[in-house]
Amino acid sequence: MQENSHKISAAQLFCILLLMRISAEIVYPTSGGFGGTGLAAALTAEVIRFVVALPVLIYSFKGRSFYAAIKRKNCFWGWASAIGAAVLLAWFVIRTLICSSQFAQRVLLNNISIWIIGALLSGFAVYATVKGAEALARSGVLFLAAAVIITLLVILADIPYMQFDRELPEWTTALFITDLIERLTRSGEYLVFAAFLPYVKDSGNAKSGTRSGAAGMWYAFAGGLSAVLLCVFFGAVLGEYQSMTEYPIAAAASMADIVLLKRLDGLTCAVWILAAAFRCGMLLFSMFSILGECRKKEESI
Amino acid sequence: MEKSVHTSLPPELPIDKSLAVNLERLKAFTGGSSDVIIKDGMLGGRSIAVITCEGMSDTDTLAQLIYSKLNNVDNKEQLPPDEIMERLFERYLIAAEQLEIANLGDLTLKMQSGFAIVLVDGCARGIAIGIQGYAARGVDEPSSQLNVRGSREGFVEVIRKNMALIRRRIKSPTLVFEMMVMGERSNTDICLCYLSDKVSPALLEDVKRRLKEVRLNTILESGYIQPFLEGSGGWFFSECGTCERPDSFAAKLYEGRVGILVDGTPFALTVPYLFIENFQTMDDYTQKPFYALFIRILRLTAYFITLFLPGAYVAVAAYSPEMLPSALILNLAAAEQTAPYSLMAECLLIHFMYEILREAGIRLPRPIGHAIGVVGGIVIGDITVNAGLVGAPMVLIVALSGLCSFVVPALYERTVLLRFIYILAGGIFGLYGIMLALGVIIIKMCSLNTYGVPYMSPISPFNPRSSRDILVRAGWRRLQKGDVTLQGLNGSHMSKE
Repeated sequence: MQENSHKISAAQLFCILLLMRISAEIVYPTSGGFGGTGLAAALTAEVIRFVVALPVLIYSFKGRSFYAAIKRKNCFWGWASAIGAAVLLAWFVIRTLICSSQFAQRVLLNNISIWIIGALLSGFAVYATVKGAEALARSGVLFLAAAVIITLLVILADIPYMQFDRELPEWTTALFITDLIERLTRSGEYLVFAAFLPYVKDSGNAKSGTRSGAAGMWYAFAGGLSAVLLCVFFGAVLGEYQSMTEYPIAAAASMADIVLLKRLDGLTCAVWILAAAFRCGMLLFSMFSILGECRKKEESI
Repeated sequence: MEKSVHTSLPPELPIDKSLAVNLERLKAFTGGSSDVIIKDGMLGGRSIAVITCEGMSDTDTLAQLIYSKLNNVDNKEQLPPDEIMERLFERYLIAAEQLEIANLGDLTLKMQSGFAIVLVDGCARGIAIGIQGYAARGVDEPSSQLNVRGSREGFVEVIRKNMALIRRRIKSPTLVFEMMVMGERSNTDICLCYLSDKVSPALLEDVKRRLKEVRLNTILESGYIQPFLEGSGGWFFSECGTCERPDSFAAKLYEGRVGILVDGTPFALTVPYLFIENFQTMDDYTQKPFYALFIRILRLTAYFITLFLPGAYVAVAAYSPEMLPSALILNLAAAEQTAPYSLMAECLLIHFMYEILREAGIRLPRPIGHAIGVVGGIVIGDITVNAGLVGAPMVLIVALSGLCSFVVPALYERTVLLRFIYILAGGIFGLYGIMLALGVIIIKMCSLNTYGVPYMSPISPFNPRSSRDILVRAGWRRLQKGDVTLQGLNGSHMSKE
């Protein structure tokens, strides 16, 4: 197997996946609303994602390129899966770009055209893609640290506003389905995970394969947990107002008025936008990486 | 040795048996330069000549070690030329540095380096005796890396003295100095320093390979060869550190780095150079760990202030005024009411003025330089505010940002440029622009690998072993439990060595 010259660690892979996930939860507008419907949709989406991604997760314990392995077994299916994944990733890139641009415009730049904001985000994503897997992994860890610190500070600052004894709204199946579909179409982390497998250090090695697999499993757990916790946090802080706000995190941040974060919601939003821009870069890189893996000659796979 | 423009004689031309011919050739080769001093004499019945370069050799040593000894030799005995040469080598002229020279190029180079050359008529070789002694600055406190505690010695311009300063700190047989001559015309002495048991062979080979690529005519400062030691990212981020302190230099060698001394400059180079090194000073290791932590946090904070404060101020005031308290907004509005330009233009203008004043202060003689500071800070600053060209808060922001930039001097050049970029980004796209610009810079820094070591290590990729000395500097009791070397850093091809 031909080794990639750029190598990342399994821990870095976990971090960038988690960052992508948190940014998706934050900058995508929610439709689930407050209460059990939203929470159920979040949990169901997690389970569905996990089940769909199970073959990738199981294969990751071998520590090799998932798409190249399919191609080796069957050229047609290899190409089909790679192109399918690339198309899906392209869709996620476009969707993330649109959502992030809208988020940036609504919370920070009301007077600037969304096209300009989107163009800047695209430029950033392309730059990140060009810099390669190592740069993405290393910077992703730093961005994750910033995003997690900011998010935790907002959560801490909002503790006085949290109420867990709110009256929950009635179950709405239509809302559940809408939210479930929305949640399922916002996340492409498992595709990214599969695309990044060949970049994990000493891929092919049984031990490092175990590390890659463990990173995937930990991500499945941490990603799901963060989605559910954010859902609970929004519900506890915003209550029924959650349904009225497009970006609950921005509303929660603006409520944070402890000394440290007083009036700094703009800054927290800027950090999340950076995380979203990074997410675009990751998705774009993965898209090209998958196609690149399948274009490699048979003997080099 | 380069070819002479005065004659067609090649530098590789062997020394002739005839002394007269050799002296003629030397004169022709050096163009009859007046600093070439030739002293004739007789020894063992043969003509000899002692050749020196004026100002490059120590005249006292020359008199004691060569003239006085040659005068005391019994001249009555007739000896063959080769016998005279043997005796000069083994009996008459015993010196610490004594080399045999065989060609015209070597002769000229050694003479111009401060050696005394002794030629004997009838012998096709000569002796070069090290009696270098030229006017040089004494060991003094370094000007750019001052410390509260620790050594007051800094590197000087003479490479041999610098080597001695390092040797005094590392009296170990593993410390290796490798001398080489670079610069086709300047023939500058370059010294590669490393600890053979700490350095990665791959790193050492890489440094030597890069140095071989240098084809400069003259090397007058270490900055001339620095770009050759940096990678593709070196155009902006320095992947090669400069060091003026022998103690810091020695500490870097202990960590497995390669040091490069260049004759004629007190600024030594070290590779590889990591981002975190910009925030570390010798004082961090002599003070208590809690204070070292405080100082490092202070430096980091100052760096962020100098980098982001002007841009963030412009961005917040222009796009997110809700982030400021209402009383402050009113004050700012009042201050900016009379200003004719936008906040961004004001910020750029005053920063530019500040940089002009700083540059003028550096280039002018010191007494006038101080006056420039007074004129710039008080007179120009006060008048621009009173004239309503800029708001008072903007002057405060620029002054604070300028002050903070001196806390991390190693990053000054980059900080200045980045500050302008962030002001533009903040002025045009608010906090969104600043964040994207910051993201680009972080990705760029994370993409750099200097000699196989990630530029951002041990922060990212994180290295738990090296984390004892990132922000928190562990106490010496913990640090003594194992050396932290570059080989231990993640993502490094050196770790495989």
